[in-house]
Amino acid sequence: MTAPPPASARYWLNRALFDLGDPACRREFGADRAAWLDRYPLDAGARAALEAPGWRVLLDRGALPNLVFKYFMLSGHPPGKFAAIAGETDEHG
Amino acid sequence: MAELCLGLATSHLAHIVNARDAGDSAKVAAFDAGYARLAAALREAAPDACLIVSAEHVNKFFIDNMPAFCMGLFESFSGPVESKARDVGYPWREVPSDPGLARYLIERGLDEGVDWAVSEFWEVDHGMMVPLHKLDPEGRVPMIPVFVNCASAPMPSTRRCFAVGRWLAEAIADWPGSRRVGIVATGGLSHSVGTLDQGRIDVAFDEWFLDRLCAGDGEALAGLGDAEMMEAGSSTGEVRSWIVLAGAFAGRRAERVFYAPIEGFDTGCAQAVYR
Repeated sequence: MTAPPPASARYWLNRALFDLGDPACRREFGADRAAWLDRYPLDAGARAALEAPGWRVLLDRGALPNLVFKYFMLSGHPPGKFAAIAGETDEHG
Repeated sequence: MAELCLGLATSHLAHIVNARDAGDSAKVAAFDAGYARLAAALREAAPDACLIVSAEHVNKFFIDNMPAFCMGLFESFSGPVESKARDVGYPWREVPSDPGLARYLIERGLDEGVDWAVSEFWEVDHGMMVPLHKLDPEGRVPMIPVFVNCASAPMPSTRRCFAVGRWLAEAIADWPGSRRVGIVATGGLSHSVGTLDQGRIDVAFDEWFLDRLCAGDGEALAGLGDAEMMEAGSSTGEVRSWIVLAGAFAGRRAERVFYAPIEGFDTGCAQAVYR
């Protein structure tokens, strides 16, 4: 893959989350999360927050709440538990 | 001269079709009854076409090219797009639209300072498809989808939303022929999605908002700031679609159909009608 064009850190964080809306991306993400994240020019903190996942860090870094919530559900959590689970996460979230 | 014959407003959350048990049964039944009243109003008004104005939840519109407002220009659209990823509890379907009216509004807007983004293909999300499922499941009324950015700052101000609504009313009134046009606004009221205060409902905000709407005081709604809406919940800004509607019916009183904070739905759920 050629180097992604320059953009804000917020953009790439949200780009990664947005792309998970694509079924092919979800499959690749499920098969090898690290390899999938390699596609995006994420700094270490953003990458760690996506890998953990760290819900609070994602939000603090400007991830759009709608995308964070979709990632939360994709991670298998019940929708009504976001505040409880996100509130309990560690230093990555 | 066309007639703006009806304005409907409703929350659009999908719990009402796929997570009904999450909410208090009496409140959920009353929410359903409100939908039935709105559906009856739609049948009675018998519009030739409606605009359906809603937020979108970052399923189509993204920050690489985020419009403030977008209008669909096509014979039909479909959804809900979420059903491609999971069972959402209500069917995927195609909804007829009205490209003649849409093109008129887009071209007139581009000439008069309402610079619509235009979409010629759109798989819409629950923001439109849940209300359409409840209000017109057979797709009898052509619907023109209208997006308002309520998901990613910077967003259109409430003042701008109100002005766009006023402009829509004027433009619709000038639409040649004796057609009847309605507007359906969806979203809100107070709620948070994907933030740590998810589940908190700001009843005071919701009551104030509905009170002003029903008093015909759209100017007050058009004075809401981003911070005030965010204080009432991270997704409360979806009330922008209601403010577009209030602009279209400026000076007229809405009838409050339903309001309840439904805790398991995490939302201040509301419905109103302009006749």
